[in-house]
Amino acid sequence: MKRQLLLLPLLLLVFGCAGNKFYATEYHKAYDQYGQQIKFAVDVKKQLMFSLGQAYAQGLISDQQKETALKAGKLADIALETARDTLVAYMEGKTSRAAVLQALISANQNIYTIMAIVDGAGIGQVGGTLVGGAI
Amino acid sequence: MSPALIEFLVAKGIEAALTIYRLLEENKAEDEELNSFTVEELIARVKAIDVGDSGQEFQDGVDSLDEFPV
Repeated sequence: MKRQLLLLPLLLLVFGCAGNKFYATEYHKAYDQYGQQIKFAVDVKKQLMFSLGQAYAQGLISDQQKETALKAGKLADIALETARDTLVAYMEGKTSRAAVLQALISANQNIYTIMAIVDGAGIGQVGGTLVGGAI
Repeated sequence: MSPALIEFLVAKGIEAALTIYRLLEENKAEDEELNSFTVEELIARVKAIDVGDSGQEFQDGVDSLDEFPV
């Protein structure tokens, strides 16, 4: 009985892993992995910019920090567009998978910059609600 | 090990196995749905990803507090 119970976590590992997905082509896999990553990154960026707008309205960030945030946001927009277009190019057979990864890393780096501004302003989020701290 | 504990563990084991089966079936259905698209359709979906406008998103955050003043 004990041995059978111990087998359960093993079965979970073998059959429950996300890596066991079947893809018709490598492009289906690219869409599922990189396409979802881009969508997720867009959502994170949107939420961060929204929060910074709220922070500005509450006087938690200065005009200078606002300008920095808007510039970082613009760069993130461009990087996300680049990542999306690179994924399209890959799926059309015009570029390499490495180029897609590079574009994704670049987009994420720009989002981290926005996060750093949020962090520098002493702003955090708890369950989607803005909580302000000292500048 | 008491019979009650064994019964409890067996029940939990069956519950876990059923959960794994359900998740596997869900994953399979998702895989089948994804694989039913052609590459061209997937490309169209990627092209349709709206990356948004960070300036507008910032302004939306500012405006949201007008609606609900703190």
